[in-house]
Amino acid sequence: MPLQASPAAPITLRLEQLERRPLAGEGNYVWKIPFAGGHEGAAVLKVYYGSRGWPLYAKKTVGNLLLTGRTSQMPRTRYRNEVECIRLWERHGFRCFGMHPEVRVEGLPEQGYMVYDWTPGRHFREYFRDASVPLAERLATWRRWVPEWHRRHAIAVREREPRLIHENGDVKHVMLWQGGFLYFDFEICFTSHNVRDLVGREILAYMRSVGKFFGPELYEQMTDILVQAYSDKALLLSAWEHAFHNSNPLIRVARSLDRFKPRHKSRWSKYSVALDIRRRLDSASLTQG
Amino acid sequence: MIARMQDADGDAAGPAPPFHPARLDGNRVWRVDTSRGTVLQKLYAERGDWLRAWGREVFSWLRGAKTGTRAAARRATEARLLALWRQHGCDAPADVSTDYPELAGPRTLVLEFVEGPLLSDRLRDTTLAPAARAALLAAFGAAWGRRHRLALELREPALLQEHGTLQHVIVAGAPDAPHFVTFDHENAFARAGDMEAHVAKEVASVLPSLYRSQPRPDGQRLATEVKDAQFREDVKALVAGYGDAEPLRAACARYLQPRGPAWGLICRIDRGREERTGARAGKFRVLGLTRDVLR
Repeated sequence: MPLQASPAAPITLRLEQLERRPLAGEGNYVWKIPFAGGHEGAAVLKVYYGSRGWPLYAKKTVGNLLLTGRTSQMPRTRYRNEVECIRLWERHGFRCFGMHPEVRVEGLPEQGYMVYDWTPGRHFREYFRDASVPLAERLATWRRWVPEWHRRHAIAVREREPRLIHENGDVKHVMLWQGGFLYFDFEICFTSHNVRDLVGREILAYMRSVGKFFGPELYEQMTDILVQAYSDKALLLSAWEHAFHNSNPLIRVARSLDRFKPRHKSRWSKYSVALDIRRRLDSASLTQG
Repeated sequence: MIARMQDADGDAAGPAPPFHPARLDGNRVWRVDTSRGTVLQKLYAERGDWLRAWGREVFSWLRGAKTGTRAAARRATEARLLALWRQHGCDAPADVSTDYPELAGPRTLVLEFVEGPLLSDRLRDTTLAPAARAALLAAFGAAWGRRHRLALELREPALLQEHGTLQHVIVAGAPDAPHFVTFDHENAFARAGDMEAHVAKEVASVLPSLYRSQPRPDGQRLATEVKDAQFREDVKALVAGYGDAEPLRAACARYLQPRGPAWGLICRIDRGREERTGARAGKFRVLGLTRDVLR
């Protein structure tokens, strides 16, 4: 039976009594559940103790902590990161899934789950390749989004806050919702305080996904708009710096070797996309040299 | 090829620098439209590979004559000079970095966007009447002379341009009261030392750019005699505004009658190279024409 949602009043649900509809979720259990007062009478229950076994969690955690500069893969850490990131992002005016920490689910470990608002927005991935939406409208949406994207990057750099960088950032993790933009998937965060480099990495990740999902024609137009509408061009150049001119000499050498790998010859490799952005920034510059 | 030939004549800019995927090879300047107006964001980047950048810096440091050549030093120099120029009433873009912290940074400055054509472009404009051209040059000469006198009086080398050119001057303001806003101040003379020599260096780099800034009716290459005659007229107009032309005379003399064995040798080598290339806008040739007018 659906329960009445209230921000103040604690609510207890029993897992075995919930009518659960599985949603996409890699490594986690994500269910749509009935939730009176929620949008369309529903909410989303995300359980961080997911389908992966402990050896895999441990292996990924070692890789994250020792090699790739990310936070742990362990369920409670992912829960904590996601909750903290959502609060941080919302504090800076970026919309994320609404949380219901007042909801307790019996049958699940404490700090191993969270109930979120059911938010049936349109993923960027679907929206931008929807031919029924006029191209001009889609490009106008992108032009509207780029300044918001830049604003987040600028805050992250100013506050040296790696958690404002979308570790899993791409067009799959942004939604259009009620005229605004909504972000999700914050379980893993970067730990490096070289936030400028992280900004470059995120820009490349988003633009690579733009190329992969929307095709070359839309990619070219969206990259043109990116360079026009992203006000801090020097920060945008960090995408090229991440791939070609890393501030860490060791990484720079490693990347110069990495570029020769066959998989990086693809059209949507980070190196190709970085050069696309660099060429556009060079063209936009009033002077060179 | 044609571009290079034209460049040898001193009439065209050189070819664009080659694209290097792994380095920027120089600064970038972007126009940024913000909700508070348009500004320029200037990113200071190294020129050439690290070996060349360090080599240039060490050479420059050993000579001690100029400010640092690395990107961070050039940014600091430009910020300092912009403030200094404006403090002394010389027209330069305002450094608005503090007003736009989101665009400024350790490698970038945010500069006032000054609307107007480059002085070199204005002088190449075929629709500019001779009288208007003379008035424009006289007004520029007045601002130029005032700044030179100020620099000499204060013994302030930062008020002189280390690599002056009319391509770095924007003609701003009303047509009847133009302002000559000089930009690109990232390199400067570091020590007062021989101030007259600094003035001469600036004069010797600005006058060739004046020679190059001539209109080409129908886009045709002008005969040398025609260009020389126009340049003489331009110098007359410039000197009319400049005031006491002694610094200009001294600049001509410094290069055309060099004193001292080392400076004499440098000038002889430089002049020989210029004569071999046959550049019409070469420094020594242009200073020779200027000296004739000043006589």
